[in-house]
Amino acid sequence: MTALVEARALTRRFDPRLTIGDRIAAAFGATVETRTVRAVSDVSFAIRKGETLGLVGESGCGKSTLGRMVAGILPPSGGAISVDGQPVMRGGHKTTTRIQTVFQDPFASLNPRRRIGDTISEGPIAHGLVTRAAAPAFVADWLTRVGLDPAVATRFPHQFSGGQRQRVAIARALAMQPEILVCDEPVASLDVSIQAQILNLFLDLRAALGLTCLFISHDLSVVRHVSDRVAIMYLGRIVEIGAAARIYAAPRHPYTQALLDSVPKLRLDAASVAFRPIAGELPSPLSPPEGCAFHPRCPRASDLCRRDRPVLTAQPDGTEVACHHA
Amino acid sequence: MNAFWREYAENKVALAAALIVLIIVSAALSAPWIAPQDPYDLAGLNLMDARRPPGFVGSNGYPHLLGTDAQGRDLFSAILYGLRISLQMGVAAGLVALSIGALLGILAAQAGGWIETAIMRVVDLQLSFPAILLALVLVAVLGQGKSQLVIALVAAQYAYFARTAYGAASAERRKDYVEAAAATPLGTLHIVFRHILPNVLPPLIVVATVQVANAISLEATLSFLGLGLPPTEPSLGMLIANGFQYMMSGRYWISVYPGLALIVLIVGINLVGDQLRDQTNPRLRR
Amino acid sequence: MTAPLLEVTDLRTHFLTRAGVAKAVDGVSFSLAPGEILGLVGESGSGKSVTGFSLIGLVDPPGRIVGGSICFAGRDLVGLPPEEMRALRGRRIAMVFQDPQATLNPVLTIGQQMALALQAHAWVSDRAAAERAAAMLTRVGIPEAASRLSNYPHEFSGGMRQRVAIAMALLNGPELIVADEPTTALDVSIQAQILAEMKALARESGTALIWISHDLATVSSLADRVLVMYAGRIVESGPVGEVLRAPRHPYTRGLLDSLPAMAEPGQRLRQIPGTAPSLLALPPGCPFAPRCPRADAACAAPPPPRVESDGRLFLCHHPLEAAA
Repeated sequence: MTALVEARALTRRFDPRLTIGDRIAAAFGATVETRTVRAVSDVSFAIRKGETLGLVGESGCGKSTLGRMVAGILPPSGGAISVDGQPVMRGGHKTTTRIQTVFQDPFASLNPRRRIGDTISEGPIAHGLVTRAAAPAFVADWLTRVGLDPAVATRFPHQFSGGQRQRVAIARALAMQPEILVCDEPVASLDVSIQAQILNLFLDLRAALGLTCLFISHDLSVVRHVSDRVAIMYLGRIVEIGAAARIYAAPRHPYTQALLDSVPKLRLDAASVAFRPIAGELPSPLSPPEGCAFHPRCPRASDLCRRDRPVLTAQPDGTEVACHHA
Repeated sequence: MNAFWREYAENKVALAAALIVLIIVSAALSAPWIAPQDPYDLAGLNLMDARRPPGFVGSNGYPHLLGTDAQGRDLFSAILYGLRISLQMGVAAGLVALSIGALLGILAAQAGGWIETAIMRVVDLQLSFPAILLALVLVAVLGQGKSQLVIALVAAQYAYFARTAYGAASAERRKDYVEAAAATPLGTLHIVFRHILPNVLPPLIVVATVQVANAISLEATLSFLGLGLPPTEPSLGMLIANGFQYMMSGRYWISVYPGLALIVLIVGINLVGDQLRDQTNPRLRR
Repeated sequence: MTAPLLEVTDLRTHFLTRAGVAKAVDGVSFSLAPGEILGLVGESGSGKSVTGFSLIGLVDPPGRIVGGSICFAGRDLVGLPPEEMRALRGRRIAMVFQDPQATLNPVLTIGQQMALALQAHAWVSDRAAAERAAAMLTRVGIPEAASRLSNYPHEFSGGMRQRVAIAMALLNGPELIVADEPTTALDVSIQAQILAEMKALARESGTALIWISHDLATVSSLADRVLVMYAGRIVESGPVGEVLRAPRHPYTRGLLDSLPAMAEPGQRLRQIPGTAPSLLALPPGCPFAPRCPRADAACAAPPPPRVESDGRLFLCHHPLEAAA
């Protein structure tokens, strides 16, 4: 199996934008934030053709930034992302249509002043995948495939419910005939019953079109459901990556273990439940801890962890873990 | 769209203002047909009829509803024609300022970097500078005439549009739907004209209504000072100026009626603009 | 069985909108014992949040309680004068919102706000107020509480801010706390901490808790009893374990089956088809009938019967089998 998508040493820094006012204030001794945030640091992974990689982490861990780099929206500060060896971006602009994206919020990701038919067909028309004359039939076909009535093509986004909008967003992405789909929290804003409908649609279309996917979510059970492999991120780095079944059954990194433990499980018995929260709080990405970023919260932390940052190391079972004590 | 107008109509004051503006605009447009006299036709004026009070029946045989001015012009006619010119100037200046301001604002938001800094610093500088002063200087340099006046008004006002367009465009281009277009990928120009511009336009149109009123009052001020239009095309400002010297001698109507017309028009447009602003402000939406 | 602290009977909260009357809450009845934790579960538009707001008298126009009663410690809160309601709120009934910003004033320090909340209902000296505030912050798990009293809300992280909001709610020792999706915006690790603390606090202080959430998993691990709402009505209620293990209403079943955790990874989920009905035009019969796999002609006409036994309740013409 060869890798279709490859990320090599991806890094993304965000420099604070100093206005003239900030500079003047700083010159007079005011505290102006000048530190650089490293949202993603040195992340490498590969996604094989036809595989779905799930990307999990808490807010601020950099999973969305990573997703936006893979999707070709945000240029990396360092490293590269490629499809079949071809770079996704050149000179700050995306150069491929082989990767498409489904965003979290279907209310924000559709232009409120465009009819949804136009939203679905504009990319394919711009890239010559369909002629303007053939666009209505093309749009009708895609609306049918995502479970919507073709007659709704002339409506505006506000005339749809959240679930229907997400169907439109999926149609827009797939109408570009991509091989790779980046899904950034596609069901996070949906109700439970609608979430199930959209996940089913995703599973159906993924199988029918043979898609390769990067599926980003904070919801561990959703990621478990759709992913072949899973990567867990903490403070801008992948701490564990491997087969989903293996990681969920036997997590090796203490953070993965703690994360899985802290998820409330559906309890069907009346027994009282002991929550096992992770101690402490997420450190500020402005000043990540020295050594292993998780060490201040880790029950197994040693002096080594406080001093040296562990690197992702392959384990006998094929998972890769960044921990001195895995 | 229907719901929009139904909501608009719920504010009775704004509805009345819209009606008044509509009446004034249609009266000004149809001035050649409804005015009893052509105020530009100097041959039709009779000095015998000069400075007569409202209701006076002059040598032409019809009553001067609002009196006559120092040249014996029917004031009602002069006001209708004056409104025409004022509106012409205001709308022309507003539209040109809207286009230039929108272009600069969106360019600044989209380009970023030094282009953004350069454009927005100039805009900020101009916003902190009194518009009337800038217009005065420009008119003094460019000389009198309709197009010169429009240039002066645009120069004094485009900054408001640029500021609004910049704010709206900066907000829009961060939204997911613009990112989605960039991720397709679609070209930058395509994104700007098909996605950002249509979403920046509504707040700009609100600013435009208020700015048309401002342009009209700015033009009236310049004309009042004798710097606006040539005397052959008297706008409201010049009518007010012409009657000013007679205020103290009891012939109030020569200044007061054009002044009233100006006030009603400007207040009316502002009330319409306020309601449009409230209605398009998502924070006030129920 | 102790006397109920709260007895809600046939509560109806409607929104009189331009487009018509939206029956957001339509005939909701339940009771709550002191110290009990009640989970109120439903999807958006089910009326769960409006029910919560009705209890604390914070329904904003065009919404209005149009019928029913909310009997709290022997008094009907419906129609209570605003000033009496205000006196009750914060002292005997408190609310925790999804967004802690809704309760915290950004320009006052935490200590000032907590002192104000205490002094609004009783004479408390500033020093005593600070002591009680610090004690409460410590109880909800904020380290170095005494020194953090002089911090402003923005100086706390999201999870910490929600703890502060909870501490504020607990400050006057209320008998009832209504919590509306208090952990939805938080990360799982923070959510677990707050769930643990809420549960412990309710158990220790005997405060009754209404936990409004869309998340069956949090409710299942926190609540004693659960109410499942759909289209403004309670469709099923009972002890949380029993209801989730053997639901009688097809909607509860469908909600459970929609969870990815209930299926094999990669397999299709047993989804509920369709979407919730508009609250402006509810069907005359069972509101769930158009999406229900068990629905037949009987479900279209009269409203489903209310079946009550052994602490379980469900409204359905064709209920699922009871567990063996």
